[in-house]
Amino acid sequence: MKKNLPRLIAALALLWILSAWRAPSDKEGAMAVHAFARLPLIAGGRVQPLDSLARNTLLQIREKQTVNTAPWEGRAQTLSASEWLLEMFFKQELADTRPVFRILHTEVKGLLGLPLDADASKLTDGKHFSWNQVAPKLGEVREEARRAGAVEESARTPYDRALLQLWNSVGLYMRLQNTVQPQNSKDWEKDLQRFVEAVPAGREAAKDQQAGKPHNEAALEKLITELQRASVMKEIAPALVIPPSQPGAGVEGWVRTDEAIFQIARGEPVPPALRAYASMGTAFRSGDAVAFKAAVEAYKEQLAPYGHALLNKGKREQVFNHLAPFYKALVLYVVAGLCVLVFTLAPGRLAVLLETGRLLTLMTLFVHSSGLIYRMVLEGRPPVTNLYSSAIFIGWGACVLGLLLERVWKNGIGILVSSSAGFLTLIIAHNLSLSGDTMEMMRAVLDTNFWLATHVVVVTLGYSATFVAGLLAVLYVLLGVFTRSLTQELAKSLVKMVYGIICFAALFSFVGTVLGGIWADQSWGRFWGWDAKENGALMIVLWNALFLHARWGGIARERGLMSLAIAGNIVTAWSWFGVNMLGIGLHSYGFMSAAFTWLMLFVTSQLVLIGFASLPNRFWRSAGAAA
Amino acid sequence: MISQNLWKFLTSLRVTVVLLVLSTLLVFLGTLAQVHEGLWEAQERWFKSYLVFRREGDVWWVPPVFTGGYTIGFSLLINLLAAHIKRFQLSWKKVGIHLTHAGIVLLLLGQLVTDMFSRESFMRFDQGEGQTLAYSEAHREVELVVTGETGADGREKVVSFTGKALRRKLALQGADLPFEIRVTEFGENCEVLSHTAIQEAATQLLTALGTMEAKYSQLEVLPGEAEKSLDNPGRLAVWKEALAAVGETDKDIVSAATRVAADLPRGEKLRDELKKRFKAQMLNAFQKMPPMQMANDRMRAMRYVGGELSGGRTIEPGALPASSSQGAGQHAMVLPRPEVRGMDQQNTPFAKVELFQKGASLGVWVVSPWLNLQEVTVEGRAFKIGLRNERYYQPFSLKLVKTTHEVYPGTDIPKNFQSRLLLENAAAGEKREVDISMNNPLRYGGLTYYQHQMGRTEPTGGKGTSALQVVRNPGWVTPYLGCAIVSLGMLWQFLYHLVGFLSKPRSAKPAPATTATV
Repeated sequence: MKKNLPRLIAALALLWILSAWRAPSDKEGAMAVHAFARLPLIAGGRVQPLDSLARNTLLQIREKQTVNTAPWEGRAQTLSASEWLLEMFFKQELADTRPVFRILHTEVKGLLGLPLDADASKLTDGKHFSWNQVAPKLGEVREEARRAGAVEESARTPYDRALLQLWNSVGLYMRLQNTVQPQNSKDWEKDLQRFVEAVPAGREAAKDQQAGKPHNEAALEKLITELQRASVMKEIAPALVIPPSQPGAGVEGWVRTDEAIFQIARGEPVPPALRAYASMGTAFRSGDAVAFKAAVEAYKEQLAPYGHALLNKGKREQVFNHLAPFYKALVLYVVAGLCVLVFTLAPGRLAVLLETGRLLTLMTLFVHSSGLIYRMVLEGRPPVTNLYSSAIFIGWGACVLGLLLERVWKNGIGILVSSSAGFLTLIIAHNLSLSGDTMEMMRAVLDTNFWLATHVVVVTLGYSATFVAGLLAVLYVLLGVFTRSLTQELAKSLVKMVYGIICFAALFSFVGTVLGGIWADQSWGRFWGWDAKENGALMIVLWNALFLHARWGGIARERGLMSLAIAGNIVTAWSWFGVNMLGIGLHSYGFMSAAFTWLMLFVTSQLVLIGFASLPNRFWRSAGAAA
Repeated sequence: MISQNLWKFLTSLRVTVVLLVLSTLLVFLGTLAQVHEGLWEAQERWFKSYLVFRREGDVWWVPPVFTGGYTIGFSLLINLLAAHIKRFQLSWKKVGIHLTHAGIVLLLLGQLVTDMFSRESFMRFDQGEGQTLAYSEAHREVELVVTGETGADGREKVVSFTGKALRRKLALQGADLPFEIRVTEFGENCEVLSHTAIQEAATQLLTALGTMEAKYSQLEVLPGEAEKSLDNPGRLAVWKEALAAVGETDKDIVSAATRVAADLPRGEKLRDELKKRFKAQMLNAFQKMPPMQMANDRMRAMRYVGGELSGGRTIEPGALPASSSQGAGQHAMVLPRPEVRGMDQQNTPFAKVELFQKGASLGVWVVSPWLNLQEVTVEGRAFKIGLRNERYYQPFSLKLVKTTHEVYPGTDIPKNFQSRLLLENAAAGEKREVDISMNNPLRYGGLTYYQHQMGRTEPTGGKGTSALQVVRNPGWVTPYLGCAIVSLGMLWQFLYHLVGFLSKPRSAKPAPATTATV
């Protein structure tokens, strides 16, 4: 039994994951939410399912992929992203009561006149507010956002940033509500029909007016009113939901709902998609599940001539969203890491834990890799295309290296490295995903799969390795100072692991940096331009070279080398995030203030660890064993 | 003994480690410096120098003195070569290390060659599609040119003098020029304002001020004016401040104004307060015009006029000072400005030159890239003189045929920038069309052309414009070679140890690693 327990646990974990690996289906007789959420549209320049649009919007305004409809009541009543999207599209009065705006800054709440704390009588938990609660002070928010927007990014106060964040959320919210119909249209199908019927007379009247002839003012007025609503939508620039009239026109042919309305006013035929969404709305509002499903299916039929790829893309991405591989990997990393941590602190007795940790980590790596590959297939890109995916990939690389170490040394250290690196990087990735779509399109200058697959992958593996070396050194210091488990033998093997990994890191960061140089030479005509990100990569190379020479020359001993490896964490974090915050150079992503605080905390923590490493022996609980 | 110690020092690994620490620090500081100094300046100061000294206006973290890139680079080179001479050993185990270091030497030398011989310039098709160019322009370096005559080959003759010569204020003589040029003044940055623009701006501002003064000279208009200001937040604020200055804090400014206007001394005070504040507001509005990179002559003039008047100076629209006795400077003011640094800022130099014919002065011209080339007629020969970005002529021409600028649908994320060009090289009998886009440069005639910027111009009726970066780098191949050698060496070393390590039988306690030394 004891022998099979680890396998059993790992098998259960696998089952948990595989059970979600399918397209979610709708219950018989219930609203066809999932079928609806699978429908494709163009947002951020790419085809994605409505499901992704809903999730990405929610992540940005609520930092979660679901909506708790009454957080003040203690027990959770949850709407999925797609259910919420349906309300946003078709039951806007109801959507406007959902507490989706996450507002934490007290001064922002003050500006909006919102309660600071949870207050069930005011329908709030003090953190989440509905459109109806925010809307009365929208004018004030706009004014303040205009002011704060003019302030240079690095000079903005936390209030300014919170306010701009809210303003951005308001924009996203309005964008959703204006996606398939004008905001606040109570019965869009009827409104649309009335508009379509008013077009011929209106156009006639407009022609007469231009010719200076007497014209039908009422007819013209009717046309203009609807066009004004469409003009407002245009300002908000929602996603593109209307496919081109000719299949085969490609992604470039899609238009927004407001553009479709203008096309109708110009006398062009009504796009079927516009009517399809309108009838879905009518069915959904009347609670008619059968009619709703029929309307969704009818629209899918319409899309059939546009090719399988379009509908498949929506479906595949929905499966990916539903599977949430990185979230599941995050949970499994924690479990695996805890198993091995307990083993390390009480060695000998609980070997079964080590085995469980190993198998779970292997399983997690499988989930992590599946997610990575699924993403690559969805995007048609190499694994790293932006900061978010770099976090995912660094964690993946670190996990692989940790398992390799475990294979050689078999003492649980490799598993500790794998699980903690995986956990930390996926947390970072989650926070990066709060800023929007993580599969955004590549700007022209980066749009080359060859260099993304070579330079970016190799240099990111260099980051992984340097972090793994740093993590090993951190384990060395923590185990040495706070526990008695850092035996001489373990210390020796840790030093060797760090050395081996840094050799690997030096190779990869050097080759990666050089490939970057060659890309730069190909694209801009200079191999090396002292750009901030280039310099960051160079610093990692130099630091690894420094470590190697210090070791070969016998200049630093065991603890000195470990301190150098920990400092390598700082250098790598600087290169990964720090240089992006300077707001200079080709890789600049703007000043990320929240990330800046975390970076500073990280640097401080590493400095403290280096401080620990240099404490005299009497402070080391493992001393005597480790000296 | 001394030489022995020196040899020991030169070959010491300790020195290597110190140099690596210094280089990491230098790269870090040099990156941070880019925030304040801009990429170019920071590069020159930190990386392409021997020593970096703290200077006035620096940020707090700049140390009093630091080793520059050249010092560290050369030291590393010496250390590396010395160590190899001392410890050279031909064995399979060492091959990787030798290769790695040989590659690094090549990389360091290659960077030096690049620093010394590479040249970046730009080819700006700012007239839009259809424009033909046979030269590229330097980004910052300027030259003084005298042109106008046609040579025997049918081309325009150009006599040029480098920016270096101008800065040294040398007396300049061209082979075939009937006059000598003496540089009397040179500035790294300036702003040029035409007299016309200043006159217009000054007239506009003075008229507005006059109207305002006149309006508020009568007390009885105050309540009415107050009412008119109700829906203008800027004016409302002025009214509230002015009323507060006469002791009125009533929110209803119209009735407050009515009250004050009925009371002569307070009314007069309110009038003065209003005039003072509205004047400041107007001057401020003029001064707040966008900064001088803006090509809009009129806006710059407004800024200048606003600044002069609020500084307590006066402007006589009819008698503006001339910047030179001849040429464009007679009708324009060339105002020296402090040098700017920073990512997106650019300096525009100027020079004042006096022309002499057989020792007699012909007058002073002021030249700057802001101004067009200016006519000079000497001995019946017509020349043009001017300061412009240094030009590098090429024996072939490129014509911008078509620009393509695509974004992803529904976004403003650029998808593709592409210039289609007609390459014409008469000497080689070549005439063909080529495409240059992001990541797809054109290599031709020892030069490489990259897609740099793209836009659309208003004055040319919405024609697409394009700018190409042109790079000449004779050392371009060294980094490729160097990198290949280093990578090979590192891979060798890595695999050598890995194979050795994995092929050893392992117990719970692995054998000590083979210590590698350089």
